[in-house]
Amino acid sequence: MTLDLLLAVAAGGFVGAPSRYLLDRAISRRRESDLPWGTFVINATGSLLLGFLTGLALAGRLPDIVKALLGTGFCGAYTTFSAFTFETVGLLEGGRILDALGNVVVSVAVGLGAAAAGLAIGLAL
Amino acid sequence: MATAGDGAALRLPLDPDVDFESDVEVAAHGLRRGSRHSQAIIVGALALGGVLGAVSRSGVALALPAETDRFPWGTFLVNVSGSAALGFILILVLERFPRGRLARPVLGTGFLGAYTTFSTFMVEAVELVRAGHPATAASYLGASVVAGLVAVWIGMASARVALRAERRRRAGRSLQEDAGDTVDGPRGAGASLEVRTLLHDVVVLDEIEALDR
Repeated sequence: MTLDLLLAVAAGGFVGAPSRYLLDRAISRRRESDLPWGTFVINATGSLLLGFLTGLALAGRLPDIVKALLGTGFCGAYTTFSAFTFETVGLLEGGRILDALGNVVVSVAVGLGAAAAGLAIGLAL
Repeated sequence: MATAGDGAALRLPLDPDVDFESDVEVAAHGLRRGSRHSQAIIVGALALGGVLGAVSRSGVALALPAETDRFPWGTFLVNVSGSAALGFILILVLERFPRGRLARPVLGTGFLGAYTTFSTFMVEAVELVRAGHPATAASYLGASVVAGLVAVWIGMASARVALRAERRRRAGRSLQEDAGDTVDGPRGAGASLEVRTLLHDVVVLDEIEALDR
């Protein structure tokens, strides 16, 4: 990996992680629910964006540096797997088996749908 | 603060990456005027963690590059190891420094949040399907989720084992120091209060006591 690509990834991470925090906090404040809606919305929207970027890249319309900045850097840091698994274990430990199962199924199903839709749009453009 | 009392179930903060606001409130108690400043420091700390997480992840991706016809081991390893680390850190490391306002945003939300990734996980699964490997995609999805959940649990369990050992060691030492003062031994009120304070709002004390029995 060249230095400019590495710097692009770093810049994406610099913006992605705080964006996740701020959006997660805004969603948690707005919703009374103790289900992890924030992480769900973040992971779904990030999957849509990364799908779109991947589609553009497959169509040869996305420079490597932009893919590194927005894809690997931003989308990678904005979305998170560890909070998803941690929150699911939290539901399990609270005895909320159905909520935990629902969180996994809905997060993965919506994430896949969003990624596939984004990819299709990126390829079509 | 700690939700100890009912003892029925361990309650974890459901949004671990966000819940540290209470840490801020504890630390910045009475310093309302400084809260905007604190917020800026936290967002800056998050950004730093985000840089380190994103760069570490691309390091792994470089070593184990994803192909559209193979199981994406790089992202799998990143997500599973990051899940284990988050479980461990949220239970153990941060309660040892309950007033350290930067450890959680930097390590948990920033670094591990950015190191692990959901979007790449999803896009890789879609690409496997598109490349005609739906079975690999399905095993990737299932294995990542199951291994990720088990990893969180292992991380948390390891932290609890370490916590219990630490607590016994401290309680034993305090018993030796002032035998007679402590009414009912290592699991007495003094030790409980200390652990309760340490655990902050991450772990319910009763769960640890239940594990001890």
